[in-house]
Amino acid sequence: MTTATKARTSPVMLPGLIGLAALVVLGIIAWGYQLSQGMSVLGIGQAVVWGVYIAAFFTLAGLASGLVIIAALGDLLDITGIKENRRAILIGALATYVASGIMILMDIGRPLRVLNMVISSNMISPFMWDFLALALSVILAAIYLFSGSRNRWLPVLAGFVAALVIIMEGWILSMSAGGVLWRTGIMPALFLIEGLMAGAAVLLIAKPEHAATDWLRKALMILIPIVVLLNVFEIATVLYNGDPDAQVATRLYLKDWIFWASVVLGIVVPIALLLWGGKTRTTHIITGILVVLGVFLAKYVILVAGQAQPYMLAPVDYTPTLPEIGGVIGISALAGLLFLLGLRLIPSKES
Amino acid sequence: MRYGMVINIQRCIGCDACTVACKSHNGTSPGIFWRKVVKLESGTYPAARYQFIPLLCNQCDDPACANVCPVKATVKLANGIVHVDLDKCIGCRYCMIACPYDVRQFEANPEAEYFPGKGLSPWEEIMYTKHQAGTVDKCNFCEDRLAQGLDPACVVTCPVEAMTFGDMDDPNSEISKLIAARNPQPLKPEAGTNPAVLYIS
Repeated sequence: MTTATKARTSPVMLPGLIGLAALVVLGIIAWGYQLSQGMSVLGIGQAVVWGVYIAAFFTLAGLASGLVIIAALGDLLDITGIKENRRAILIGALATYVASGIMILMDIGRPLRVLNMVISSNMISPFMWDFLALALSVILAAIYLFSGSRNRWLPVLAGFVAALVIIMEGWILSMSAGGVLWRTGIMPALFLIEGLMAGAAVLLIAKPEHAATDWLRKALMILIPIVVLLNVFEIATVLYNGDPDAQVATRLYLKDWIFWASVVLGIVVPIALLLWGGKTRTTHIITGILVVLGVFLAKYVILVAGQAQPYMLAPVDYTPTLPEIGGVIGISALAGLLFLLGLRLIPSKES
Repeated sequence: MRYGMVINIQRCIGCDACTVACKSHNGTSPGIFWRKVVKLESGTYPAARYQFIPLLCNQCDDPACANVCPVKATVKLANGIVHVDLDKCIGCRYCMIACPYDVRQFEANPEAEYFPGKGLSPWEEIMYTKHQAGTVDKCNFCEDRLAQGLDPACVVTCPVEAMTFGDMDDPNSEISKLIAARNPQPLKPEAGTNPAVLYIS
């Protein structure tokens, strides 16, 4: 790729690194403030306990997994422009996985106790399944990165485990007895499609070769309508014949302006651009950014609205605070920074 | 043995004495409620009415919170109480997401003053040592009082005796007789957690 080669020599690399590093510093300051003042500086409370950090974690981990799956498909289906760029795609995936892991550390109340996940594991917890799948996916993606596609089973295995990461995240919500909005088998499928969408969108922004661009455009043209269909199926089913609590939660969800922002920004405009916006670089960048933003907003709104409890029957009260927003920006920048550093520092051992 | 509680909603007057007794006994910080009384309005004037639903940890037989806890910080004890080991809790709050009853509480800042700028009162200084910042805690049926042979603080405080507490496995206990006589029901039975807190409505 071109992306890899260009990144090593590009004159804009240094300013990019400096800009991303500055945003990472902003994130560190935000986290430091949170650690020193306690988690009461965050917008989360007793009603909404998972906020923008978890939405960002779901988005980043989904994006990373989507990138691994697309890299695997590139090798398995012999997609020109994808398989040649496997190294850059997998470095991007690993960078994003690392960022998502740090996002979770920022979210938990006792980050120094994270080792309890290893020494006192509860293997029936979906959270633990996701932790294990994510750790395994990082290892497989790294092996895949360094060994290439000589072993045909490697892309199959790496892609499968990456898909499991996203599925587990859907299960974290859908297997929760408390979230009436999430208790549906559609959640893992929805998360899987959104992860692939985010991966394809980021690659579209990264300016691959023409053949890959066409493939990514087609992928988005298929994936976006699937997300629409899954949402329509679910909402229509619940509103027509769901239990009363789920109906209340679904109506709250549909009244949330962020839901409609995710529909317009992440679905309507990208589809319009793909259909009628031409194949220009600008169109691809805008489409890619909007799809990723739409995926993030969709995860945010379903996460927050899903925490409405039937006893409250009121819109959930949550607004991210500046430390949370700074933390999410910093972690997102960290993914970009690690990606650029990875392109420069990780040796190429392509088969 | 399985500790349980039956709450007679018809008796509850929504005075929140149980809420205050709980806060006082357990020394929870501002904004933290291990138990609360939800006030629901129904109907329209002149047939409008209030309904009061005391909510606390349901000490479920199959607790969703314990099942999802990634580090086994929440465990089911032999006496039926769902116990939180604060020293293990990593503060991921998945248990709060999983709880169908919205009764677990996140201790974001357990040293918050009730009277900002006045410093901690001697009572706050003593009680806040029981809590840990960044962890999730909840009602435990006043385990410390049970160890002394006393009923939970909320039960003994209720002015209308809306709550009956005891061993649900003992067929001769008051609570078992009440269950047999009045057939109280759990909230949200569809959650499948088999609560030990039942309601007469």
